[in-house]
Amino acid sequence: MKKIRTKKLLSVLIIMFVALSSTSVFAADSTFLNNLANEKRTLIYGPEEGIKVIPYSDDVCNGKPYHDLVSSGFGTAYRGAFPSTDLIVEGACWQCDGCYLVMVTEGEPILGEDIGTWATYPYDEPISGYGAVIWTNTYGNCSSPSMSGYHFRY
Amino acid sequence: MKRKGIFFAAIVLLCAVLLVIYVTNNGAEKKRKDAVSGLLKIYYSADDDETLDKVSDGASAAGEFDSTFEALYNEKYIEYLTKDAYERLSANRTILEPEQIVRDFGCTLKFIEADISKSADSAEGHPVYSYNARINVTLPDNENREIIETGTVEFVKEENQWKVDLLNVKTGELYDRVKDLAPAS
Repeated sequence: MKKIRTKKLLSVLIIMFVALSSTSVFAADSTFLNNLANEKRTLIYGPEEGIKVIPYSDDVCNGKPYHDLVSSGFGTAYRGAFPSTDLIVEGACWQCDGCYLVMVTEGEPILGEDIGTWATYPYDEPISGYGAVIWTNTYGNCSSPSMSGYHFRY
Repeated sequence: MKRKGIFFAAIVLLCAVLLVIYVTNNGAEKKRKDAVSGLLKIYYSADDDETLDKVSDGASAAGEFDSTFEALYNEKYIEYLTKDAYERLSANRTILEPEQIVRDFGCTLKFIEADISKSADSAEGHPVYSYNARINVTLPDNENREIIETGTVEFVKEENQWKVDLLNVKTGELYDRVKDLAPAS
């Protein structure tokens, strides 16, 4: 009976030691976590997989790390507010499947063309499949077929 | 003797039924092939960029944008394409790809003819046809070149008329092929 008690006590002590020591590793080494954040990686723990280091992803749109832009016809973007006719770009129109953001791009990124001049406007409802006209002050230029935070599809 | 007569009449009746089925199917087949041909003739022929101009004009007068596309549908495609198919082709800008070619390269396109054959039925049982379309491209220096474009179409019956519900063309392929023939002006 005494033997069993001693065994139990020893097990509890071992468990406490392991728990405290592993906590102190992470608590003491805060630079470890900072480095993960800087390298765009994050630490996750799953009961089956154990501790894992995975790429870190920003929540850009409804849990996704990008706006899921669906081809939506033709688009024209003007600088400022309606009824400005100060043209920013005329070309392909896209709308985010998650948040209805509308983007107009000069090129056809899906076909490998550079995005070129682009402009966005936060719509709050689906636009027609023929396209849209937007007035905005959010625009830029991208000399690549891809842009971080945006995913294009038909 | 009487039994022989009944047997003969049954065979004649069966032949008549088969003939009716054959004629009906053949009629539907011809109608669908004519529809494919009619659609391809409209889609693959372009000698101006009028609709693209209208889209730009419509953009400067907000609200007239959608009406340009509605008008194009009613004017050219309503006989052959379902509205859903037309909207999908508009959404990925395929519908105005031939006009974009006219605008960007100064070429004109003219549909010559197409080999059309039934390839299969879709999972929903809709007839699917594949085609090889011969298209004449007139370059800015008036030189004529011929290209062949392939694709498939899927039919549905809408208001007792066979209409194309899916025109499968590879977006950008026609543009790239003409681009190879005529460098941008």
